[in-house]
Amino acid sequence: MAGYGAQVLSEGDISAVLGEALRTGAEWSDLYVERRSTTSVRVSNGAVEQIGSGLDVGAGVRVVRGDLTAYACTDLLSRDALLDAARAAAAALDGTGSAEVRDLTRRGGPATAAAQPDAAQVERAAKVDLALRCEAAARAEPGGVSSVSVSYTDAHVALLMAGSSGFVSEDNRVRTRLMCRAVARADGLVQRANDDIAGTWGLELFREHTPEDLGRRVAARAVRLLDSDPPPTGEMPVILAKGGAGVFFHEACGHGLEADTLVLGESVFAGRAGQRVGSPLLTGVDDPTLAGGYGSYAFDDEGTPSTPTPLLDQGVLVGDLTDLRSADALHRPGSNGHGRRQSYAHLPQPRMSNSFISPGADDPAAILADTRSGLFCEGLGGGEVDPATGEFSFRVTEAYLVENGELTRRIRGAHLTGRCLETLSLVDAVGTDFASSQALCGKAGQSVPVTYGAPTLRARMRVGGG
Amino acid sequence: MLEVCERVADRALEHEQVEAYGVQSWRANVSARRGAVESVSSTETSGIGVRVVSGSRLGFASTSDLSPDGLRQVLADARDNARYGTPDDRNTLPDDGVRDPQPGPEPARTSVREKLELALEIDRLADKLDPDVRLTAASYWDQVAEVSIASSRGTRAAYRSGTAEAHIAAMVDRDDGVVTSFGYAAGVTLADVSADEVATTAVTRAVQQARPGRAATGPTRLVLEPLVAAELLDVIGRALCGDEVGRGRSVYAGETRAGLAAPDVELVDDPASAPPGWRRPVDDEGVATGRTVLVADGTIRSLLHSTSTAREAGTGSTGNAGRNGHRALPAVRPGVLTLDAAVTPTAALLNAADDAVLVRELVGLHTGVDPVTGRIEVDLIGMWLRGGEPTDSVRDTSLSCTFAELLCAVRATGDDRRLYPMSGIIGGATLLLDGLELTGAT
Repeated sequence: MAGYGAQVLSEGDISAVLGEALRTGAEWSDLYVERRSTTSVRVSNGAVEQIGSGLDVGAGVRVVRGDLTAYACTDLLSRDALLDAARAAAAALDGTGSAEVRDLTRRGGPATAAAQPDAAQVERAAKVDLALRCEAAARAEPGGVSSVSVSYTDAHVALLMAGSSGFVSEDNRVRTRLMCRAVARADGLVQRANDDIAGTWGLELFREHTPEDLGRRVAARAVRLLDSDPPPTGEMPVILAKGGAGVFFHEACGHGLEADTLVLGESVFAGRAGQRVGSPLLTGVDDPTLAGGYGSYAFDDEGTPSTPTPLLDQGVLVGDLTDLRSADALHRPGSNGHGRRQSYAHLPQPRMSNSFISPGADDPAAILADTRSGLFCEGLGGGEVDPATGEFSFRVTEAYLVENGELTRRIRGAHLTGRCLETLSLVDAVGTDFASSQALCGKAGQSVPVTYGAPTLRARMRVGGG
Repeated sequence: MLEVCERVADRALEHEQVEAYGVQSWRANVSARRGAVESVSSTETSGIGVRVVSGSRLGFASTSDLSPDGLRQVLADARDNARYGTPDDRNTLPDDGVRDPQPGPEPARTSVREKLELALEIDRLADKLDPDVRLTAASYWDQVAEVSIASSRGTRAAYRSGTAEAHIAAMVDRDDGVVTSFGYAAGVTLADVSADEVATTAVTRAVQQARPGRAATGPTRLVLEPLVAAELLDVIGRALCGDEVGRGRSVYAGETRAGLAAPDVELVDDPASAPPGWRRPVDDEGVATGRTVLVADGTIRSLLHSTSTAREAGTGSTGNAGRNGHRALPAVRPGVLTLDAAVTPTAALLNAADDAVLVRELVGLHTGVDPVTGRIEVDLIGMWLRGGEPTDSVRDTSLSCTFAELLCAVRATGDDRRLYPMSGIIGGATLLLDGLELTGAT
């Protein structure tokens, strides 16, 4: 071992911990060791309000027998502390051990671009400067900006994962994010907007996307929304502009394909593998190997090498997202590398990474021109979905009324609702364009970074709000 | 942990303020499904966050390394970070912090066996109620935490807290899809959580929600269940926090008008209304907590404040500094927030609410209730009420209103107030609302 793991644990230590965890009858055990260093800066109204740094180290030991999982973690990385954690996890089982730890082999993973320069090595002054530049650009936007807040965060995470099946994987992840929030006020109306630049890069992230562009974009949107009308309500054709449509795919499709819900029949997609579940215009994938993607990783949080996973092929369900437990339950030969967790204090679960709908064949301008009346959604905010029912809800950040194929009135406060399968089948146009955005995605109390992307697309949905 | 915090705070240099905030926590999470244990997880963590105010510049650093070297390093990092902060008179540590730590009783700890028995009991009871209803895993999770605070300005404070929660979801298959509902209960310790309540609520609701449904349109009398009322109050409470108002990120920023709520509605933050374990003697910077009336007679009477936001507003801290663990600086958050109005026995309130919509869940809560714009845009899941009894389910119905319209529509609260752990401890009772407009799918 050559990375962070070698600094804190020898191969003998790892084998001893995994072996101790097997003593009460587990079929297999694994170990997750994490060192996370972070920087955060918050700038508001021209002032550096907060600047902080953090260091967290910890490890967790998991044992699995049949349908039972037990997990214990510690924030001490000594051999003794890890052996105690192994015993604590093993105590949930009451058998005697027959499984053994196989010889540990270091796993190779897909090559990932190293952050240049590594954010952890950059002077704090440079990070503060990024936030100040973004905030100043937003505040300078004319038209009623009343408040701007910008936060910069970076995290450098070193991981070691090992399993009794005989592997050791190590991963180093650098994630950087600059987020801007603006509020605009006029005549008693308050509107807000937010957006970010984020990825598994260091500060080179800002060579292509400047902090000033981000600040101006966010502030301009907040100001524009002051001159807007409440939405029409009811079911109608909805055009989701490139990028924002990725949120739709993430919520309406992605969560229901996280295999823990499939195993237990708690997803509308359960039992539909190989069937048409959407319009033939839809092809989608989840790809954790994407260079620079906010949800990218070389190994997932169970040590499985990452790999792209096709989900939809011309509307046919061709894949799902598994971790070790769900892959086993679905009788697959192994996980496809989507076991993710927020930190060492959490158990892994199947999650998306970077999920995309592929561009289609329709000219985006023609999609608009072809729409007699409806809603054009420039951006979608967060959303939520119940995988069991497939019911989803999205907040629209900015929209326009479509009348006779043209954008007319600007619309605020709209939200979209519908049912996944029904709406996926109603997609009748997919653009040739493409854009992506990123966010922290929550599930069962855990947040992980993700990217989602899509071309312009159109489907009938229910519009509410006002 | 208090001793560790004192060691850091005592290293403050002249003209420098240093505060150390330490947390030790024990968390457990168990689940059971179909009569068998599915997962057991236990976590013990500790860490410290250090605030340094140097010449009115603020720096912060945190670490889970509590060794002598780790403590020296985290203080050095906080000092170094302070060099980049903007001088600001709001940056100060409280000089009115508690100096005699009284952490209160430790919430009862329970064994893994007891936690598992509760989860298994929820699973068993739910399955017994209606074998045709599909169930998710029955989950139980709890946490006990000990917080210690020491500062160079003399603060020596500590508190203990506990939270126990349980959940199960139930699914009913219909020809046109699946209907889900859930049961949830929360308290300070496991003894506060009723397996029967969690199981019965999930199954009964799912079966009822599977009944034929119709949309609601136009002005409609609404009855919010306690958890729904608490979820909305939680967001409204965030808009009444001094940090959000000070940054202009609240609908209540600069708001002095009357008519923000019905005349007899009061929003009150009062730790005394919670049991030990949720009734914190001090906030997360060591200032004593107390009762604060936020809204009365339809106007804002006060905001919630930490030391920093109070200084900006020219008032005193209300003891509402709150942190998300040792890794975060203090923000402002409710302690124990409740909505008080005319109290009616819940049974009588339901009986009187004929042809009303009983709201059991809000779809889109996390994105559709906005403390900045003060708007509520959500879909409703619930039942039509006839003679106090749920009849048909409510389908494809949206609520779109402002915080003020919601609070002005309050006619009565039930006598069934419960407390829930959210951004703070939030009270929710059955809430009767009149005059709000609903939009149903056509």
